[in-house]
Amino acid sequence: MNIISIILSILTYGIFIYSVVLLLFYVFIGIYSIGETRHYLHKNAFTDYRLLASSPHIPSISVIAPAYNEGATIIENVRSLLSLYYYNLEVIIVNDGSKDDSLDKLIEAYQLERIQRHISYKIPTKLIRGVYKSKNPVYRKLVVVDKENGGKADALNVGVNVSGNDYIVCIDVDCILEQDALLKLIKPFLEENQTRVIATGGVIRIANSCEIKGGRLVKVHLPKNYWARMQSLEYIRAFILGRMAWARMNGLLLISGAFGAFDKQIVIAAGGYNHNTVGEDMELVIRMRRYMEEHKLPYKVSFIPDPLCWTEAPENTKIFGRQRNRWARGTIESLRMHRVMFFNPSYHVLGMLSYPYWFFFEMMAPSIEFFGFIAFLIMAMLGVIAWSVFLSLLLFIITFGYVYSAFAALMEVISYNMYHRRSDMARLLLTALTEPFYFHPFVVWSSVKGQYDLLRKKTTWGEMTRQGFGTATPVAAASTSTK
Amino acid sequence: MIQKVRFFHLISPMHLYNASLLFGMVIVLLVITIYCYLWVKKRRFFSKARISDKLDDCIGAILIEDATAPEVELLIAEIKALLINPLNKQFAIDLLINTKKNLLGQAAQNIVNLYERLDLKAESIRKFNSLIWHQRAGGIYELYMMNQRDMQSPIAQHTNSPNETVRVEAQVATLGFSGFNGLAFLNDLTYSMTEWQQIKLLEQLHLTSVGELRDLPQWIQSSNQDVVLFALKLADSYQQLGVHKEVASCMAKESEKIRYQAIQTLGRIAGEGTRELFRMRYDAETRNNKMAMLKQIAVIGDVEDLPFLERVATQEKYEDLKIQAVRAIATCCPEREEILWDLKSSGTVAESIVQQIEFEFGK
Repeated sequence: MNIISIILSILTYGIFIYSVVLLLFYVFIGIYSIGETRHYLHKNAFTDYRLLASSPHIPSISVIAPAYNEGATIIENVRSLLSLYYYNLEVIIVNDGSKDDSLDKLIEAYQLERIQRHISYKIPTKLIRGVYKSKNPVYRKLVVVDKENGGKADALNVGVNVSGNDYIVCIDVDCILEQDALLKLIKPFLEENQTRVIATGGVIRIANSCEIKGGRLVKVHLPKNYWARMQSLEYIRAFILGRMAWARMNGLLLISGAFGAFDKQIVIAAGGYNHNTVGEDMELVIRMRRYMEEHKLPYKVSFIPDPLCWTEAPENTKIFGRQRNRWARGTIESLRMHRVMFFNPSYHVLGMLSYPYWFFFEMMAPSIEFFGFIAFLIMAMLGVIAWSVFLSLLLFIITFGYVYSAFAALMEVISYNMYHRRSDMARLLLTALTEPFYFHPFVVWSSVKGQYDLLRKKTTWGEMTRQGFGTATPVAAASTSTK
Repeated sequence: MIQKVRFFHLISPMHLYNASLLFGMVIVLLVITIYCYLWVKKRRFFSKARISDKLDDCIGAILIEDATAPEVELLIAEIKALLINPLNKQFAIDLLINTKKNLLGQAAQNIVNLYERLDLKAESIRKFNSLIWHQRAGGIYELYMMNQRDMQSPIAQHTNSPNETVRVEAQVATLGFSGFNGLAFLNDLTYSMTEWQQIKLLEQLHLTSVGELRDLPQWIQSSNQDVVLFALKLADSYQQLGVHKEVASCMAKESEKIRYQAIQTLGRIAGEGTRELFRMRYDAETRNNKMAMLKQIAVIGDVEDLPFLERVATQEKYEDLKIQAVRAIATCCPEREEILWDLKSSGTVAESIVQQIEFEFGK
């Protein structure tokens, strides 16, 4: 056996074992998520959220929404946030040094005046230029902070510093939240006595092609655009199966930056959002968890399966590619910053399961797939491929992927059934058929490019252009991190 | 010559094809299940719409006309014919409960009567007797929402159930039926009460007329820490001045949460020694509890607290506590402007903090 054969054998064995472990994880996640979702649905079947909405005993929440050049839609977006059902609420809009007229529009629309406010920089941030509140008591919940441009993480940290409440909910300003989203999101924090819930995430859904009026979702449709539709399926799999299973294990590493609630005290203790990464949402959750582990404090990161937040997904390869490029960089950066936890038993599930899973199957997967494909091409050229085995293996993997997607679709139908038209479901399932040949290779390619960009020390977000809801005008947004 | 990798003699292509075939069958099965579900859900939707229409007509007729009118009897008979399975019955129950939530007095009682005339109570009792926790909890919820007082005793037996959801529903139901007397379950509670449960119970109590809290001192001294916490909230909500001593003793408890709630409650039922107690314990407290103390002193304090507040405002290391101390000074002292000016000019407190408080009070 010569050296090349040995290398090829190692490669083949390695990729095979890797794939088997990954598939077993998928099977486990799929099955394990069922119990968590069932339990949640049963437990909350007769929960009266109106009780919470009007209760003076509920904890106070600050919704923090960073805004950068959102002038085209900011008035409507803020109105939507102000209409959320919650008694003890403060809505903090952080104008991150916008170059457009966002601030002027806010001042005019909401009758804002600059107030004297001492800012305690509990988390270091860029300079705050001013804090504004409305003269009109109708908008008493609104606080607008104007600051120097410093990026999304910095803007969120400013929001944390300004917040006077116990819990913070960080969202993308252009997301559409269900009216009772905050009530549902805060409930897990109130349901644990022995362990401290440090963060809760909620399901994010794709709003493309949905009917939206006055900042509210009126009717749900499956996106007409292929890329957005494929992302709908991807989100169903990720949120209904993946996140629920990881939450059940208390191993969740990521709460989307587009919509998540956090215990402010722990956020500050952990040091707030890190602006040295483009994956600040994931990095914060890891750091908060690490803080709790290192201080030996019992804690939990919770997740609820209700579809509470609707966001606009990229509809073309250019923007979508940038998003996945950034996610890939963010994942590597976040994991690299906390590499001490890798298979470290002191960090329990976090160190022994969550981190290694993310390392091997989220961070390394694109590279392994990419180099696997290159290896396949080389092996094919060298004539060392056992084609019968290859084709059978390919068919096996593809059909397994379809099983997983169809299972996710079934869970969606059984639980929330947002796409209840038969034609919508047919389109969703048919779209899934194209995933291994078109969507997935593109995601892998974008992620590999992201990893390469990271090697080149590229740290930008990449411009995210959005169509906006109910408007034909393209809206430039600083960021979206609906990971 | 490069050898072909021999690994795959372990799994022949035939095995993989067979597995793929199996997956293919699973896919077909899943797709069929999806469409069956969609079909069933669609049927349920129309079925619900029919029940909803009839129930709306019936409720309208009951609320406007006589509940025994022949028209109502006919509608009830028609609805009963639709309630052929547990799902339809559940939908009708949910609809009646939601309607009742928006009504009061005789109108609400008419909904209860309709629930009984439609024989839906039997369905709720069936669920209550189920061994499945969520069914039992659902049954309890329906029975108390529909004011079925004859079920009070069997439901009360579950106020210390090992299942959290059943337990809290039974506790809420007991309060719904018996008002403040229903709180007797706190004497024997051995399980925990989450914040969520406590909010539910407090809100349920607010719906009933105010009664006596005879056992409150006992609950404040309970060995169950959650009962203590809840009792402190009760003392706070209903301003129970008589338990000041017991509440003050909670300031020595190990649990930060209990001490926090004790501070809140003491603020509401403040007596002569309250402020002194706060001042004495301030330095030993956590940051969160210090803030709670300062907020309470801002409400109950006076000039006597000025030296303490000035010390906090100038020496405290946390800025949020400094701000609160200055705010408390501004609230407690009649010579606010002079004191704020002194603080500003002495440079012991950041000018921006004083400016913020001046701005707040200037408004």
